[in-house]
Amino acid sequence: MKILIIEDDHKIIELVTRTLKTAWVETNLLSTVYGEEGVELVKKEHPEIVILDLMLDDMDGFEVLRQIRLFSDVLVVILTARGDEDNKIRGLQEGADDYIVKPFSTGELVARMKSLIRRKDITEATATVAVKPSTRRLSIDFANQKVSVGGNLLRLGPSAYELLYLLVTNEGVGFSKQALRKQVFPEHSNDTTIVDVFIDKIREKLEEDPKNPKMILNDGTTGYKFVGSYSMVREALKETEG
Amino acid sequence: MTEKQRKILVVDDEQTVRYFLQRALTTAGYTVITASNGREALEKISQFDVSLILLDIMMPELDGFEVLDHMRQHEVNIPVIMLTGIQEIPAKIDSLALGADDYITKPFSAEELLARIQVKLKRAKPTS
Repeated sequence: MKILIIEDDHKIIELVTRTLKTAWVETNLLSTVYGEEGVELVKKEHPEIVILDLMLDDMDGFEVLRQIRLFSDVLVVILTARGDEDNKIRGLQEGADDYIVKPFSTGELVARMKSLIRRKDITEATATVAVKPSTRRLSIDFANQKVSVGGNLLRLGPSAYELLYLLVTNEGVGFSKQALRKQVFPEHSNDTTIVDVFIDKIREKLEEDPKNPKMILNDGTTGYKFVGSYSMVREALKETEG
Repeated sequence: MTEKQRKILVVDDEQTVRYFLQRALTTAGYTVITASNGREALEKISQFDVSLILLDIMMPELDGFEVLDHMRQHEVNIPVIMLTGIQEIPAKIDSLALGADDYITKPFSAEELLARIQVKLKRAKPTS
């Protein structure tokens, strides 16, 4: 973890350094009391997170933030004695990820930084999944309601087949859980848990890593969709069941 | 979907708070859904495609910590901003450790809340 502190008060640098070294075992801490040097360090060192004071000797902290945002999307936490509303809003609107007022709790500073990093990781992970389609080959014999992946026939019950059929034949289209329930389990009450249970079962058989599905994806928080490709098979699949 | 069309779920057991937030958020262009307790919040989360949640802590049925914990255990990663009267630091640290994205104490200004919501939505967008 590379962290940059831009702060004119040496005591605060020392306190933050001590705190962060305890929170992250492997921390590479950089610090400067000058805004201009801070901007340069962001450029050269690519820290993962910047802690920025607003009152610096050579430059105003807002100007430092503005210059950083011209070229970098790095996480920035403003740490300042200026606790008034206007500065808080200005800081957040001009690109800071958080705004903490001195005197501050070191525990809260660390908790807030961890929260920011966690969110960044989640967003990046989602973006990566979206661009990597599965390479497994899915074949479906519609006439005989048989599905195979990489030559292995899947044992799917009629409801699971119907659910998969619906998603696959509408490739890329998101279905809400409620819509899937109505279609496949019309006799069930409004509870959509049944859909989740069957999707889990299908993923278990279909996906290389059922915990990181690449064929049947969540569509937002309330639905599912199928992505990827499949081929239609006319002959009944005669391979031994896998 | 543009930022302004995003859905925000407001969870608070006090009607006046829900009303205030609904007005502020709707005026800012967001679509608002409300829930008055934790159980209702989880139902709404499963029914609607929510972009962000404003979550009170002290509520009947399930409290805010339980809602947050339940969500994160089930890998529901919607950004959550805790919005509460509890000022104590341990509550802040616990919330953030459980998976909250931010923690704002009442009373707060609508303007600061809107600024924080924008920051969280921006960071949750995969293409940003």
